[in-house]
Amino acid sequence: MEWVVEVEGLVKEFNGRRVLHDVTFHVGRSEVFGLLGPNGAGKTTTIRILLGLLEPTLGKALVLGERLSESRELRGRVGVVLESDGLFSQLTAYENLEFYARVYGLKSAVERDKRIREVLELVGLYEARSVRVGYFSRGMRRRLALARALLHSPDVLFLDEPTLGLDVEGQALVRDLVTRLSREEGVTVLYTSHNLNEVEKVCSRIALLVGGRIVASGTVESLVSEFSKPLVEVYFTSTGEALKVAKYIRRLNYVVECWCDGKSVTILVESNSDIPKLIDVLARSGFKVVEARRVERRLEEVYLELVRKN
Amino acid sequence: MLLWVVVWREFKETLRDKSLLSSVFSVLAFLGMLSTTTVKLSVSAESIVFYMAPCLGIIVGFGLSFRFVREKQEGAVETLLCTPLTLRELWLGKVVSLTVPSYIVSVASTLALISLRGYTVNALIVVYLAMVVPVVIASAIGLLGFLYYILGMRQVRTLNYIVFFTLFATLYLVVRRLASPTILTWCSASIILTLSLVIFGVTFYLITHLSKERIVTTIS
Ligand SMILES: Nc1ncnc2c1ncn2[C@@H]1O[C@H](COP(=O)(O)OP(=O)(O)OP(=O)(O)O)[C@@H](O)[C@H]1O
Ligand SMILES: [Mg+2]
Repeated sequence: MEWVVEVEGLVKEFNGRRVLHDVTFHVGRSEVFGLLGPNGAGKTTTIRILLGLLEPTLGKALVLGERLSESRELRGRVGVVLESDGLFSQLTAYENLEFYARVYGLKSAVERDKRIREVLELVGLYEARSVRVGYFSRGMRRRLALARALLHSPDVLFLDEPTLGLDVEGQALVRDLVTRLSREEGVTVLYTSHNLNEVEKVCSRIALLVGGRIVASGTVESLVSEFSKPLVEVYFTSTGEALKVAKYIRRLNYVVECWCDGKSVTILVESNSDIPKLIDVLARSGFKVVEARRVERRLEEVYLELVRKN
Repeated sequence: MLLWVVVWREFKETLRDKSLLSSVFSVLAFLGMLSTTTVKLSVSAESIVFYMAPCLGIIVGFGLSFRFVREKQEGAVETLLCTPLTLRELWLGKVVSLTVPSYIVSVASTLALISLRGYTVNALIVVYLAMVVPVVIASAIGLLGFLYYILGMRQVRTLNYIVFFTLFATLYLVVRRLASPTILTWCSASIILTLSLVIFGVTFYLITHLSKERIVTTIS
């Protein structure tokens, strides 16, 4: 299979401090690949290296088999939304897009106008087209940045937290747009976000980056089933009681971890067969259990678990 | 050519930029002051043109070239570097579009000053204003822009102080030297032109070989 994005053995150091350790992943055509991880994990750094804005210390980072910094033609096939919006505040929304349209080689004025109108309508900013971007709200700027990235119908999209600062409707818009572009137009997307519900809905595959290392990767379903151990939530009558239980339960060898949150204790156990054992222990210990239930595992919990562990 | 796309955008921004207006006002204020304080001195037209035209142009250019910094600080430069544009086109586009207004202000005010004093222009003055002054201004803006690209934000502030005080000191010296015999000759004009061309050429070469990483890592 020919990869659209190829990252292999990528290492990046800033003044001798290593921030990416041997990062490897591949993204195929029309995939939406999510790069997840806590703040400072190295997501933006990885994207910047792919875009040719930073040089890799070791390893390779290719887009469509080439280094983006070395091919003007290739840069014309890529759309980006970076952490900053890349807009000019003295210009209106329309003028901003017109500039980028020319940069991306949309030569005929009629064609340009048509395309600008299309993308502005797509992100719901057509009414605001003559307003200077300096007067835009943060979310409006983000929407315009997205329109800018789509302007030239790119084959590959790099979206670094595209929904940052967007309202609920805007977030849904981005999700729908990304899904539609990948399904209908075969666009390949590299996506980062801190909103895991969003990632769950949008991304076909994800990689979890922690401290510059990939600690897990695969489809959302495979990650959840591979990494999630059964989780039980038990409620007690008081916070004090919950704390005591947590202290007591932590000693059991099949309890992987437990967290206290008010009157409830969340307990992670090794396997399904440990749940009855746990309930039994609780019942015999004399603590008064108000409610106990098995928690349905979502990407978010798997994420938290993996990040804490690493 | 993509260069003209950049220039076109920069012009639009310049026209809407209030800092151009304030540069023009400060130049006018300075000129007003200058002509009232030196009205009794016998100053030759050559001296005025030789010193004032490049100085005024560089002052206005310095005022406008914070746009290099702004583009970096706001992060737009990062996005621009991901487009088919090259760093050299970005730089050159800015240099061209900041040089033009600086040049216009400088030549217009120099001509105004000498015509107020009743001087006429000769061939040397025309050639100097038409050919040497724009190159001097462009090379100064180009060098400044290059430095803004490679320096971190704190160093940029230091650079600004240095440039500001150097310009101030230069103006002070220039005003004191205005009355001495002129040094605007065909020879001095060609020396200045050559020097500026060399500076511009070196900066152009450096920009071509500047890594994007240097710019991206000095953003904050
Ligand atoms: N120019 C730089 N110089 C030195 N260190 C840097 C530089 N850029 C990034 N880093 C370091 O690299 C690490 C990864 O940063 P990066 O911006 O890639 O994180 P991120 O995963 O995008 O985080 P966030 O979720 O907050 O956006 C951080 O520790 C950061 O301090
Ligand atoms: Mg980031």
